[in-house]
Amino acid sequence: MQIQGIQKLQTDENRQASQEPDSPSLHIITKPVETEEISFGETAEPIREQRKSGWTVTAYYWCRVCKQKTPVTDAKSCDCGVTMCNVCWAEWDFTCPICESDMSK
Amino acid sequence: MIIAEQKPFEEIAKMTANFDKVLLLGCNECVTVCLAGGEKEVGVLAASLRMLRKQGDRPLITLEETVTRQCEWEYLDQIEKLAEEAECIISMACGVGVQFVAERFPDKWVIPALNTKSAGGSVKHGIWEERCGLCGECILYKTGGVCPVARCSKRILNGPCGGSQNGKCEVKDVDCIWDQIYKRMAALGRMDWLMEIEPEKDWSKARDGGPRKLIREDVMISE
Amino acid sequence: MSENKSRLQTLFEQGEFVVTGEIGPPKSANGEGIRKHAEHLKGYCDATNLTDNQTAIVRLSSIAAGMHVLKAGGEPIIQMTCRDRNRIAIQSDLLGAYSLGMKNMLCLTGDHQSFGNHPTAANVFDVDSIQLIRMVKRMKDEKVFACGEAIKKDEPRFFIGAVANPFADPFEVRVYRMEKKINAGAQFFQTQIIFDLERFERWMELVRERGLHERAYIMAGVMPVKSAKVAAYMQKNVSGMIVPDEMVTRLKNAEDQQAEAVEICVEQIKHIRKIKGVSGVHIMAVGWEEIVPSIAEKAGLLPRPQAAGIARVAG
Repeated sequence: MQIQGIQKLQTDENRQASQEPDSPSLHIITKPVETEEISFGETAEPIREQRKSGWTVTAYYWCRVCKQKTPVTDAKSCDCGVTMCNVCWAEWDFTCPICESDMSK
Repeated sequence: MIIAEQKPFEEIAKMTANFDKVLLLGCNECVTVCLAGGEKEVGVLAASLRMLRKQGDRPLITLEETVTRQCEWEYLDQIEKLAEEAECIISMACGVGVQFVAERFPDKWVIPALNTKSAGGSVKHGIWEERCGLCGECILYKTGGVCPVARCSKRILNGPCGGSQNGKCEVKDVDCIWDQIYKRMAALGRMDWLMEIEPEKDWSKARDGGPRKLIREDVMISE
Repeated sequence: MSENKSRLQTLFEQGEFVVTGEIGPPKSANGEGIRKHAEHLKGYCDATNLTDNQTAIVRLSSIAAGMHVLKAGGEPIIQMTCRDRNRIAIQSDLLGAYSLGMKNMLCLTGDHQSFGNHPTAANVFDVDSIQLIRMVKRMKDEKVFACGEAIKKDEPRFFIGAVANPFADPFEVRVYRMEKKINAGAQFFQTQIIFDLERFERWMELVRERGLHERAYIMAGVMPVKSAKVAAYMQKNVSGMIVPDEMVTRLKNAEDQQAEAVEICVEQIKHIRKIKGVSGVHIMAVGWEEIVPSIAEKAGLLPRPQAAGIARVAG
């Protein structure tokens, strides 16, 4: 039933697509691109931490700037979504580079 | 093949701290090829554990053996005597091997020495990459022999998503597999296939459907 | 029979140049800020996106946020990603959203969770954005759930949106994928933030070449960039976005960077409006929502048109 429905839908779409008068055919133009070697830190492991509620696993944040996994305790995430390790935050004077919130606290 | 990696030595040492005589059991299949749990690795791990324990006041006796395959009962039968001698078995196979050992020797404590990573292969000396997502229903004929289930970070079937940059995935340092699929399909002159909307996948054939069991009555032997 | 269309869809069909805004729900259980933003945007934007845990950071849910927008008299566009829900949860949430009076939705695959505040979480990605679009379309047109079972009555009839990123790679594939989204049922598009107008124009050429602008409404994404500092940050650290050097320099040399930022954004909107096939702008004023009215005004987008047959002034 479902498969039939999907197949029907597919044929409808094919028909729809073929009705498009002069859609040029698909092709990929290859362009030379300069790629930058990016390294990703994979070392930081989730941290086990004892809280009032017992053992929990706190994670790491991924610093958007240095692309390193950083323990949550050494990183901050702004309300607007910018997430960096404290070292990188220092480079931005603990002011959010997107929304200018104070991140020093 | 199954790709596995040895656990950090400290972790293995901690797991074995309460035992005085252990059997280190290697496996001659996949984990030998990916240099994680073959005969050589068994020797190195055994020596390291002995050396560590020698520093304390509780020396460790190690027994070493490597079987053809840990994932088959008949090969495990061969080490029955050896297993009896040891207090625990450190299995240096993938998760399948560890469990076959535990089932075969129910009265022995079994310790996994490896982390099982993926189903894939070696692309270069020292580099192993995932290739198969074990989804239970192969779609490689639609994607030019390149698997988006295993190799797209979001396992999307109608890719690429907006995170494809210069042929790389934004999530990790791997190729954007949809970039590869398009290039391959273009080279094969099958670009139009990619305009077909790939329908929702039947994930019940993957792990989502519960543990999988394959039954083939044609090859069963009645007892 | 007049269908119960959303204000957004009605405006597109009237041929208006549509303006939408965006509200990122808070990382708290308080909807006050959303209502304030919605009220603030009223009369300046025709509808407002509510993001769905964007960049994979836990936030107040997009549908709940949409409710706050409705209460404030605005018109929500609910964003729905495939990262956190399987097809059961997605359809359930859509029934819920529609029952609350939300009529527009935007289908996205969703950012990977490794970028967010729960990078060790499991992801779902049961369906992808194209399958999601088709699912919503089938609910509307064929009155069936994804499994094929009939929706006996009161099916959700969303105006279906999707996203397109002219700045990701491979370039041509972006247009093909957009076409695929249209084939799946997408009715309108919002693009990634555009700074590189040249690349956007080239992309629109490809779009027109394939006739896609006649099959869906395309909204160009713009963002007022508050300062040279913000521009520099985005240039370096935000992937999938091209920030031209001239823009950074222009902001840096400006006496009043904020005024210059508004000026740049206004120029972009005016330019974009002239491009054939663009039906509106989506203003993403991340962290600077209060500037939207003045941009709308300076770009000559005011007063916002009324949608025929829909009395409510939306925002």
